[in-house]
Amino acid sequence: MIEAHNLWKEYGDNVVLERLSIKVEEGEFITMVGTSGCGKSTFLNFLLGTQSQTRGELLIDGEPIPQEPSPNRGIVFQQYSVFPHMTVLENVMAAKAFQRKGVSGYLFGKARYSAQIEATQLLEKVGLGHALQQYPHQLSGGIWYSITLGSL
Amino acid sequence: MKRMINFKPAPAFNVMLGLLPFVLLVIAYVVGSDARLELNPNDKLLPGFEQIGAAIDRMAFEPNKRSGDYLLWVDTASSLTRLSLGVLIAAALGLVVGMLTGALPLIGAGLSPLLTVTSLIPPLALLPVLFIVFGLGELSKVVLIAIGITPFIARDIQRRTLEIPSEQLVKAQTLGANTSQILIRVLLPQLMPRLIDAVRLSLGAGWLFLIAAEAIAATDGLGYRIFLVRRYMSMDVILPYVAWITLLAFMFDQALAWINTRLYPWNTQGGRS
Repeated sequence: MIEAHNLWKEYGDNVVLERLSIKVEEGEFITMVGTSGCGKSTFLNFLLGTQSQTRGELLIDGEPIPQEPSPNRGIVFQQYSVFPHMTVLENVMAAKAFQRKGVSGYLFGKARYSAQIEATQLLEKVGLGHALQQYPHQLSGGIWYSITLGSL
Repeated sequence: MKRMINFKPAPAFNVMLGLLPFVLLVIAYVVGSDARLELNPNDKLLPGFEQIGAAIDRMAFEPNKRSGDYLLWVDTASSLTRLSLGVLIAAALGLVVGMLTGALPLIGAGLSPLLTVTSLIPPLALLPVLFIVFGLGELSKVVLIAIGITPFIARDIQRRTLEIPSEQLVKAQTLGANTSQILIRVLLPQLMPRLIDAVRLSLGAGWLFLIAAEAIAATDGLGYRIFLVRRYMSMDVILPYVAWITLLAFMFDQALAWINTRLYPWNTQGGRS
């Protein structure tokens, strides 16, 4: 559950966001609508932990939201959501490697083998079986979303 | 009549246009050389192709009378050893320093000012210091090349690291990646092709430092030879040596470009983020 109590964001005298309070239950699906510049992205950045409010509190499951991105809050960016230097398969496998402890972000041996099988099955399920060895720039933007969602 | 900015030569004409300056230069040289040799057959300033050919033959394909070495190849081997050692050290140092200062704000804050200042020191002004500290041997030459181009590579890689979209770093973190995983799996592979580009750009400076160091203190090497035979006005040796150095530099540049397209296809095909 996400709770925001009376959130403010100010840059000096410039108020970007004021008196924002909201409660979102787990599994709830919400949409934010607003004119450009009204603070939608700012609020999303609070949730990600890349920016923080100047007043008020923002809680996830009753705890203050961590001040850096972590695996419990996913995001799909409009741009740059895939790693351009990895093939489609590698993108999904890297996501699996990042979920494990490790130094390099590469998988080896058995872990690598099983991740490869899992990733391949996943990509085949979303209809990308033909594009495993292709790089993101060879594919259309819509497919990038599928890859990103697949790697989440 | 089209405007000049829209006037593009046809492909075949393009190649000819490109070759034209070379042909003109050779013709100008031959004319000048002939004119001087006619007045004085012993002229050394603009040797004819026969004299140059004889000099190449003497330097490359006949053992030296005193040492028994094939001088051109000995010079080439020692120069290339120094250059490649210096450039390799610079590339490794530059990559590590550039990536860490670019990716980790703490290290960036600590080292960036130092990096900026060191990159402003004229390396050749340090050469006497290197000779004093490391002696006149191979080490000081390698160190000069490394010192000369490391700051350039490091600053370039630092900027390239900062250019990688922060979305990628956020993305990796939301997938659970820790700092070292992001460095090694997300940043490093994307910096490698940039490193090769940086090395290509710094090879010119590398040659400069190599030849400068060899001119001052060496017993072999391409730069050493050129400055040695300068005393006898041996243009017939100097010119082919300069051409040989140019050819080597060209081949390195092309080889690195080729390696880049082979190893990092996503980079050259427009997959750059």
